Amino acid sequence: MDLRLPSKVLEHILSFVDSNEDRNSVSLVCKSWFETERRTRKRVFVRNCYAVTPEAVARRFPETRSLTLKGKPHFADYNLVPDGWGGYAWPWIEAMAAKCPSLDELRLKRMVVTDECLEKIAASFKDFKVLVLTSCEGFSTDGLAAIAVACSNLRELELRECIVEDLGGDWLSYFPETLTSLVSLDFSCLDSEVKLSDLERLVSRSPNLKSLKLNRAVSLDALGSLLRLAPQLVELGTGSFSDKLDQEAVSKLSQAFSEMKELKSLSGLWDVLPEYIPLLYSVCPGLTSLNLSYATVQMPDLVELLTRCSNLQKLWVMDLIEDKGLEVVASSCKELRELRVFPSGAEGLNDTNVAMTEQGLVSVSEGCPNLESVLYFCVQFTNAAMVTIARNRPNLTCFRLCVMEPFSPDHKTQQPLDEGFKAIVERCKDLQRLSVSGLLTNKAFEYIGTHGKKLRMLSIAFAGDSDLMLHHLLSGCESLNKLEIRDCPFGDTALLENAAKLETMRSLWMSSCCVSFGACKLLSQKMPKLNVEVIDEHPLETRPDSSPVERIYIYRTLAGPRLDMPEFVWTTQKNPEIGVSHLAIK
Amino acid sequence: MELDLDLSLSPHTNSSHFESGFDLNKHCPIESVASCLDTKHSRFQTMLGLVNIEEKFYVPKLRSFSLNSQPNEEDEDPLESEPSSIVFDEEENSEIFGQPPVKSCMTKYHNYRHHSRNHPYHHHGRRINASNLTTTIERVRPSSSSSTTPSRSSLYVKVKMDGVAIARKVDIKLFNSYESLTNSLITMFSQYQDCDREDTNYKFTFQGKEGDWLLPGDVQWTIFAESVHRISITRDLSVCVYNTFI
Repeated sequence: MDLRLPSKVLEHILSFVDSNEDRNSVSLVCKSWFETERRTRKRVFVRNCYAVTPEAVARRFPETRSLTLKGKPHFADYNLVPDGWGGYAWPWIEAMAAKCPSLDELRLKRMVVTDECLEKIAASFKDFKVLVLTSCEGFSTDGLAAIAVACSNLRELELRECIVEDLGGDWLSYFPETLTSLVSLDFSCLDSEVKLSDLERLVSRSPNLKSLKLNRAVSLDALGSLLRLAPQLVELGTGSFSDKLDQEAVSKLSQAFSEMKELKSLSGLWDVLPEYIPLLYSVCPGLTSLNLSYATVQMPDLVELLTRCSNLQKLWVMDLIEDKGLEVVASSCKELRELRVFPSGAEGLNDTNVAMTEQGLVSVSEGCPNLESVLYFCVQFTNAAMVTIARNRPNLTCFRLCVMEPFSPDHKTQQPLDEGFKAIVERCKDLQRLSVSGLLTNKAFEYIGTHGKKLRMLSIAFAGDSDLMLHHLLSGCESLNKLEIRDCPFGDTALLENAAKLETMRSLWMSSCCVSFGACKLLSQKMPKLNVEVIDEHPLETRPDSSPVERIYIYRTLAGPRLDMPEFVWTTQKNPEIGVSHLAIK
Repeated sequence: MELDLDLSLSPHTNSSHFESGFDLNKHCPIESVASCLDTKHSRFQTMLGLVNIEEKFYVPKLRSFSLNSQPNEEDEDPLESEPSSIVFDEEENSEIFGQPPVKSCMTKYHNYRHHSRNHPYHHHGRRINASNLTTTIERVRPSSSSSTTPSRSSLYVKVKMDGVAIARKVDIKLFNSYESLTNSLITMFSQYQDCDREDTNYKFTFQGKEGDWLLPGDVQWTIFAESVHRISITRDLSVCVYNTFI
């Protein structure tokens, strides 16, 4: 008797299995389940584009509708990865175009996307709907025009913090008059001015438009007319908020804002003038997300705004808010879940005027019971504050503290910040992401290794006494997935001793550390399932094994060494001339 | 890890010699410091006396692009070569590279000062007048690595103008004099940026191999053409820069 489920039945059952984690488990049951699962998977996430080949993915999941890819390591955001390293989207687009015609969503992060890529997308996928590019580069506004003109059912086009060669604002006019399906448009990272009439026409024929993020070049006046055309917006990114308007224009704009009953998310607000802050009052009570990263107003104005945002869950703001302003947030924004405080580079950073200290974060940790994610740039911190924060908020899942001055001790006791971070990792049992800063000794990393069992991503800079610190992390943090380190005295020993750990992680980045050339070679020889990339702008052939390398990037992969490495990326496979390691084999 | 405090004032403060680039033998980045572009030596001297100054200005690093003018671009195989349309400016004007760890979209917008009292590579950067605009041209990384520098048929350098997010690239070999180069640059920018073509208030400076910042005419054109790394165009003459090493 054939006990197998008919594949149609299995397919139907699997259609209820949404999460890819579950689907991965399903695919391991047996061959027929593997086959059925792979033919029905609709969304694929490849979080390291070099971990697997595009062809393998396209072959395995021919029916996929959505592909999400990440390219460069995270530290590329801070210019630590040299230009030309890699992360090219083209091979993926080519492979998907050949094998996965149903693809209609593409989400890329930190990848190099050229105009050719965009043209290929436009030409290959009949019903393309969603293009979200985050921190990508390599394309121009011409590529955008290609997407605009060809994708007649486009729903989302979002350029988040991309570096775009801006050849002008014409690209927007390429959206055909027949395109009425737009739900989300984000061109906030572009510089050029788009034609207002094109934008207005686009907005008026897009009844489903829910999210509109303008670039800085869109004037305040223009904003008014756009809001009147799209009062249904749920997410708005304004343009520049600093033009001088006459009284009538101001009141019309105020009226437009008050009509926006659905608005939940507000961003943009470049250069907002204090006198325009009241324009936003009417939308504040409905806001769940507010991004004030470019709103260069002082604390009193920020406070006026934030006292009215009682439903706020996500707040991104500059340190202009000061500790005092965060006290107000603590009392007004009880629903707050995520707080990011960015450095403004404001005058008087060394004076008491604008100086973010530990106080602000302590207040928020006390006042906001749902706070779970923190990114905090400040000039000073104390262990006591971190202990308090940990005690208040054991539900933290992401804690990224950046005390701007490297090696800063606890400013009250002059001690290292070890005990503070200990409290954080000890109490916050669900902590998944941690960035440390300040003066830290081995102890801090011992604590992290001992307690940080759920930690998946860890960022370290300018810390440490010795290799032991790295050993604590690699041997202790069981869930560690991504580790990125810069300017720490971590070297060979810990790396080689914990080599096996590296196969359980997505990636390890180390720059300006003390890893020797020989260790890299040895690691590469012994661990075939890893790509060990030495990123170094000087030739390595004549380097002794003991000499340190500038950067290493190690990641697990099924794809083997990649074929697109530039000359400054060295691997033992690509560069056999660098020889084998002469280090003693442990 | 080496702590490398440079305890002496640079003897070359007047002509502003600077180190740039990554010194891999020390296996830590050496920050490049901007040059003194102005002849306000007196102010410069005054600053030198203030040894406890800890404030520094970042000039935000701007990412930059080339025009599609590189000769070998047509057959570019995206798998094999680096995308020639983007060149990062890695070292420009940063004290501690990549600090504070903020994305470039924000550094583009804010000027960051970085206090690095404790940093081993501590030195002071330049203070720039708020209205100062600078442009830099940087040599594009050659696509073939070689320890010797062969004479090239073209030498592309990147032009960047502050306040203008997009840099341009220009082939130095196409020119035979400073004047032709500077005129061409002005034309190029005025095309894209509505710069006042007639505005002759441009000041060009060039950074050579050693990191020296020089004025047009300081070196012979032929020497310049082989060794230029960066070109800087300022539009505001009231530049005040100083450089102090602690």
